[in-house]
Amino acid sequence: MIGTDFIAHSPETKPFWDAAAIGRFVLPQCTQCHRTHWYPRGICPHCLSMDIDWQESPGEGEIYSFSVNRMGKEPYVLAYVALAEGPIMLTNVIDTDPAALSIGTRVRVVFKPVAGQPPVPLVVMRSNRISQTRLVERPITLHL
Amino acid sequence: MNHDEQAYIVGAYEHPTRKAPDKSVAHLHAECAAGALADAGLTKDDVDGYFSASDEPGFRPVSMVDFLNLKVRHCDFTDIGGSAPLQHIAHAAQAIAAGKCNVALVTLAGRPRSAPVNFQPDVTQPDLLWERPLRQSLLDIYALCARRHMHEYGTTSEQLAWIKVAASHHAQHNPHAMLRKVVTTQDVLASPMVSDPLHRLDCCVISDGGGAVVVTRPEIAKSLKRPRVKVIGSGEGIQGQSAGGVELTASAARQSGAIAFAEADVKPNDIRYASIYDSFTITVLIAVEDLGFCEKGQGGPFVADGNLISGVGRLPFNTDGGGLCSNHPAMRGGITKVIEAVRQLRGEAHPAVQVKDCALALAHGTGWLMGTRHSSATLILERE
Repeated sequence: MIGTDFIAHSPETKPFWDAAAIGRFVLPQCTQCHRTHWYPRGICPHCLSMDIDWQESPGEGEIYSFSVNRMGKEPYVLAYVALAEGPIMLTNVIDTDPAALSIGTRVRVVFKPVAGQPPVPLVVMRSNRISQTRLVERPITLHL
Repeated sequence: MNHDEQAYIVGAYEHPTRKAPDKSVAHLHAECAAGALADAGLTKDDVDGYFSASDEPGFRPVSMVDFLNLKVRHCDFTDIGGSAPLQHIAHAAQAIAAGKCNVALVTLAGRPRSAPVNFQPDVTQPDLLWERPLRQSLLDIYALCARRHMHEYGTTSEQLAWIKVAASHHAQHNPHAMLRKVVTTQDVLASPMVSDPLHRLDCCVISDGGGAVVVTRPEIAKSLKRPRVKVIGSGEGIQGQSAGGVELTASAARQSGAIAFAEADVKPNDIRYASIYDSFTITVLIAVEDLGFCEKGQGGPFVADGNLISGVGRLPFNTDGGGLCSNHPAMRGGITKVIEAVRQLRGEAHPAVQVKDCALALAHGTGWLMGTRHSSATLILERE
């Protein structure tokens, strides 16, 4: 499976996938410079410290920009989402009418894994009650 | 670098084909190499430096050096995307100044139109892990830049359309151009929305073909018969997602342009002609701002009303029709940007688009994907 291959070739990101597997969205935060980054690495791209905490995030953010691809049968939305923690994340907006979107629209992270692919975080509109894939009861911190 | 020590472009050749079903990629590279050497008045045995990127087939650059039967003492296979040839010319000039080679050959060729590229993901590429599972195309990524630019600066689809309109005005005079029909902003806006807010006519063509350039040291350039085009400034840069601090409305051209202008000791206002990488209309608009032709955010008004049309506006651009209308071989527009700038400086552009007394030109490339991670390479070229 190519998805498994990708994860196997980035062992430093295992804490993210372990959390995602139980529906939890974690962000890598540096214990030295205290900054959060995206996309996740095992080394802080702000200061090159290797001491990363994987902090639970509510996965809330706003659309920073988006495009609506209309070349196929169904349109789909690629977006950059500015997470409340700061980093801007490339993702898809799913289960949402593209016409309802604008820059600034509030969204939240969901996981909707596709077979053979790493379970990357996607987003839905905050007002969307259909996708309730995330289950977060308490913060978790995973150490490498 | 002292300008007197700097290198010259003495040969430039654009392959006339736009569809090559019966030619191999290696053969296209070779035809381009032969064309550029003939243009310079040099032979393959004069070449001692070779520059190429991943459009070159095989084990690069060893396979192609062997295919061409070159004897090189310097080579560079730095792939920063479609802007690579501009960077290669800069690196060739640096290598020549350092005494590492005398005659550098830069080639680009491909046939994505006849044989669509089958992208094989590299499982070790760190960003693909996070982005490959997403539904996305390269159109979508450039559309993200366009949407954000519209949001921040009030740029309109009609202003972007003016970039295509200008390219089409130039392409009508190029018999090799894929799209020779002059279009209006209405035509662009009426074309299908492919990735909102980008329309089909906001996109470049997909073409087979290629081109090559020969760079050499001053003594050799002065011994040749062709008009001399001097590389007087160059700059490069790479911009990614900055660990999450993504910028969508500005590019690495801010850096590559500033370095090139400082080295050449000229100002954007001095430039008579500009070749600007045009994978999409938004690629041009952002580069025009970042290179300093107008203030950040003013790209929309700047490109409107024919300001990029030769003989009409202040900044004639891509007078061959560019990637938007003429040629984007191997899905990489870097080499054709240099070639048209050389034509302009030699006074060999089509008479209908030739800039009068064109003594100073800029060529600029944007490689890979502006909205995620990309490179910029800028050259400033002077007629001597």
